[in-house]
Amino acid sequence: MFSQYFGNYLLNKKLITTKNLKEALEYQKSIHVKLGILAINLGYMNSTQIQEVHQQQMKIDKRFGEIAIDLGYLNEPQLQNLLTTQKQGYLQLSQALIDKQYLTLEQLQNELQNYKNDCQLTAEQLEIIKQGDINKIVQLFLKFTETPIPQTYNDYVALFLKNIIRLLDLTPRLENAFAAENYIAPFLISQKIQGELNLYTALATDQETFLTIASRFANEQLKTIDELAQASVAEFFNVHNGIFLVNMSNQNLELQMEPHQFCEQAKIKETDTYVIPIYLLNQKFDLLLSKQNLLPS
Amino acid sequence: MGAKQLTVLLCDDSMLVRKQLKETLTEAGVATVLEAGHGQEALPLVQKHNPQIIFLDIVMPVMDGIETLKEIKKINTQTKVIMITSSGTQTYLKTALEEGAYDFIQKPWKESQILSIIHRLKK
Repeated sequence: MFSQYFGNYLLNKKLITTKNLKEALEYQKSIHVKLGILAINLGYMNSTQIQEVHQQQMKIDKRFGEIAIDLGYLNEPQLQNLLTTQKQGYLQLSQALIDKQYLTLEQLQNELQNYKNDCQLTAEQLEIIKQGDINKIVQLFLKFTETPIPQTYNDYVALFLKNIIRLLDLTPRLENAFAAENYIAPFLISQKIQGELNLYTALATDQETFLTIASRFANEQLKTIDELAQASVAEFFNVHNGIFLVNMSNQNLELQMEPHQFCEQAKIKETDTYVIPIYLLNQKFDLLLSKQNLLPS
Repeated sequence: MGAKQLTVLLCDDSMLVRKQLKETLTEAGVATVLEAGHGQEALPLVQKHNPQIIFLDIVMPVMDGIETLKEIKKINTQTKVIMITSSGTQTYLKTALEEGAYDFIQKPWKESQILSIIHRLKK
């Protein structure tokens, strides 16, 4: 998750291109973070010191941590902390950007610090993103104050993010929700959930993102929003909503859902509708939640 | 009975699901795969072709899976109906089994689950 936020930050500052970011995000899946990157992130060492250790590694057969301690740049407790942190994955993007030479160590050092200063998150909030705990990330960004069931909404969104990862093999980035105002969805898949609670759900997006989702779920390249593409996005949303129903059922809350609807240029009712923007690299779609019918009758 | 002698009906409102299930069944050697988008389309096919196996969604327009299951059982009690649905709630599971469903698969389904059923039922 941290990769998505930090990666987007670098993208907005034009330090890397979309292509760089996409390649780095793909590459990061296969690597582990080296201690040098972790040491920079924790402020134990700077880029000059890291490079000095790397140069020493080419001359003598010793590990990074041993050389850094020999040179006085790290102490033993710091090394242990780095080794523990290495098991967490949140700096994998940073490692990937270095490995791919899209950023230098010095640039990375500066931008990690800049991000911490600019992101307007507290240290605690940043830690939540680093840990990648989706349930906590949802609570961090989304405040459902206008519904009597905020926890259900939180659970629904957290599950949706997990299903994007699981079913589409994409990693989403969540931003703050807002109320629907003059909102028109170019393409919309909606589905009503009913029973002991009523929840109107919808996925709204543009053509390009619609086809990204459709292609991912169908596991084949779809180039137009034809019946198959519509069926694919609808089925993704249907499967997600079904899993939500099963989770609720396991908590003894029995719900049903209606067949989905597909609309183009759908004008959304403004009352009580939350719009939750979800970003996929440089694409975006919105998850809409409401306790009333989203669409005008 | 080998897979080639089986007639399988797919009843799901999703064109994608029908396409992917059909591909799996065809690769498994099932020669006759019929398709329907909801219960009202399925019932005439059941009457005419007498499929041995039916994969049946629950949430569908026009006629849902539970109603369709009840009607199928009136036509042919021997047909094996496998509910394949995203709505695997306790209520639906219980109702489907009470109405005579043979098995219940929660979406997203795995190819191995479908093949296991075909392998089991072709004997």
